[in-house]
Amino acid sequence: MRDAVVSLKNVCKSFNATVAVDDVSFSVQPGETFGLLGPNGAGKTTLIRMIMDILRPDSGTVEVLGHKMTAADKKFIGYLPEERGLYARQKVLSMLEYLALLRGLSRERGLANALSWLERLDMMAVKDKRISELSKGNQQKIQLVATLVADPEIIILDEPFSGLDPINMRTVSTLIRELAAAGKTVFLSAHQMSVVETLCQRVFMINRGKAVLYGEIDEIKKQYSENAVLVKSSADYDKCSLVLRHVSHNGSQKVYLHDSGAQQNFLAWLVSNGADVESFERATTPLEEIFIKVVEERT
Amino acid sequence: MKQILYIIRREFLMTVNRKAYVVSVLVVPLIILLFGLVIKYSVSKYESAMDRATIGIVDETKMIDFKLADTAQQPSPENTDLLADKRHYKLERYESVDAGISDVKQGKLAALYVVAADYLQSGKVRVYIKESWRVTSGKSPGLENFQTLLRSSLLQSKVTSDTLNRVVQPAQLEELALGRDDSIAPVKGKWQKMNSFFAPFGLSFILIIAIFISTGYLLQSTVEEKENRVIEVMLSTVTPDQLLWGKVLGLAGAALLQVVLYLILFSLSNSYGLIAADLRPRILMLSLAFTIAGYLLFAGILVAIGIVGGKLRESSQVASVWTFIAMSPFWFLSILVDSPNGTIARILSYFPLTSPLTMIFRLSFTVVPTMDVVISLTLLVISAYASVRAAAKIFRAASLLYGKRPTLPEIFRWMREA
Repeated sequence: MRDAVVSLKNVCKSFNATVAVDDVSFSVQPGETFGLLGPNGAGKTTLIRMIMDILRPDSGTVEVLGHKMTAADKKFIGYLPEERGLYARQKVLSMLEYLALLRGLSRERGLANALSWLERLDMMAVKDKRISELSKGNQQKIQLVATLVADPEIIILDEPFSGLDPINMRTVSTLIRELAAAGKTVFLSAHQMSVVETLCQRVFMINRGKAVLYGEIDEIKKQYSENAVLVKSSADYDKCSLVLRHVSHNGSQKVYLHDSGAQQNFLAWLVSNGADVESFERATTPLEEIFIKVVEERT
Repeated sequence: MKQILYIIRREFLMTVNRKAYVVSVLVVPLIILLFGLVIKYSVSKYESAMDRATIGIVDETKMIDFKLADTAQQPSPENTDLLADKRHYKLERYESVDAGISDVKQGKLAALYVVAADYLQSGKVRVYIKESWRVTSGKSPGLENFQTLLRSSLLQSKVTSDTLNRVVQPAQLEELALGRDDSIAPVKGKWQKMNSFFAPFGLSFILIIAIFISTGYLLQSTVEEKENRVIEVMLSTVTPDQLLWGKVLGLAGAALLQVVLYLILFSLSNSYGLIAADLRPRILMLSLAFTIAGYLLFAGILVAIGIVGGKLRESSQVASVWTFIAMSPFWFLSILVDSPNGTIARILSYFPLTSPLTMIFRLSFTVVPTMDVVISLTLLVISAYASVRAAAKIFRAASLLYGKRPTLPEIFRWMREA
């Protein structure tokens, strides 16, 4: 495993009597799309602010690029905060140029990057408008451009889908995939787990400041999945000794098996019995359900 | 370092592009200058107005010798009152009160003096003036000329002409001013005399106003950044210290530009004789040092207020308390003028919140002992440094705090921990 670009060890943070983050540890590998998941108020934003060195942990260590974050490291990180905010009186292009300059780009490069991103997001028409003149959706997109304008290596997106319509949600999802494909490390925080599980390889789940789940999504799903398959076929499942029970599920049958390794045997049984198999897939549990299940188990 | 320069540049440009800034920098002094020009023009017109006004005299005693009226036309040289009526008056004899009143009504006469028949016993004189007539000194027009005529008429046959002249003009004053460098020079003209007080006062005022206007912008800029929630984007890009220093120095630049423009206007006014300030380089440099240190002190305080308060209105109210303290030396202005090196002046100079204004005043009015300057400036610089350092710590802790007002112990904890 390569050196982590973000690493948290036993991090705790309280605000007066409220414990926002309690003994949290995880790491983000270079080039991966990592998801930080949890309901509203779970402590996600506090964690991100500590990674960004905006807040300091009460205890534990936060390392970025292998060391405690320095002022010079900030230029390698693009951060989209949950609380969106831009200079309302400033014009779009001038503000993007300013942020690019602050992150160490030359004026020419900053302008070129800004224009390229505006073009990419179909926002060229607003480049000379003041931020205050833009619609909320367009302000969100400009905020995203502001995050990416300096071509950062690590991109931290805190609730990037909030306030977006379905079309813009798709645009942002596509953009995240493109960034990942370009080798960027994307750190994604969201409460819409269904969206995140399609984008990320690994996740860290947090609830009330405490770690709930951490690891590769496939592994987590495997670990928490029921021993079942989704089948669409002409077979009579009651005749199979491997089957515990079966229920209909979105036009298919969800077939629960006795043993965890019985899926292959069940498929063999279907084939050997001459069943017309239209579809056969392992039944997985959505992350959201796994999350709820784990949280309920622990409380 | 580059980041700070970019922030300084942005803060400077955003501020100098504000309408309020342009108005305060250019329009306000222009209005003051215009006002000064109007006053100067009015005064010179007033002073040069020869035979512009006539007063009528009805002498019921038949005692006044109107042959002496010509000598009474000049304004009294003894009258050094700055706002005195300095016109020349023609004194005309009137036989009838009604005719005189009619001429006053028509504006031909500035006043009609009627010397009562029993004047020698009662001293009674009636004066008719227009209701709308206002003389800056508050006296009836031509009163001194009329009194000179009365004195001369009463005494001309009873005393020698020299005695008579001394009664009319008891002293021909030659005023000599003792300079700061022990020089003795004739006192300047009355206009300049007035300026020798008002010019340093005006200069001090300009510097102080520059401090408060610019720290006001700093407060506004801090609150706006917090209200717009742009502060989190900024803190993810630069450190809190870089952001704070960028803002403080950027707005200091805007304030400095304002001061320089004011000083240019001030110097232009000086060279055109509109004002006659004694602008010595040492005083100017020290005044600027106190202005800059004072700015940093209040910049730290106002940034902290802005970042903790988060709402412009509330923050401005809290800030006004500090401004009030800083402006408090104005209450002691007469004491500072009378005794610029006295105990009160010294106490106000050693207290950092009041020292910028007090010291700028004192430097304008007198030669301040070097030790006073050193102690005052040292205390102010230390306080300014502490203020900006504390502000940086509060800035880091409170920049993302919304909707909850921190308690004083919390603020002190931030200052210790950050």
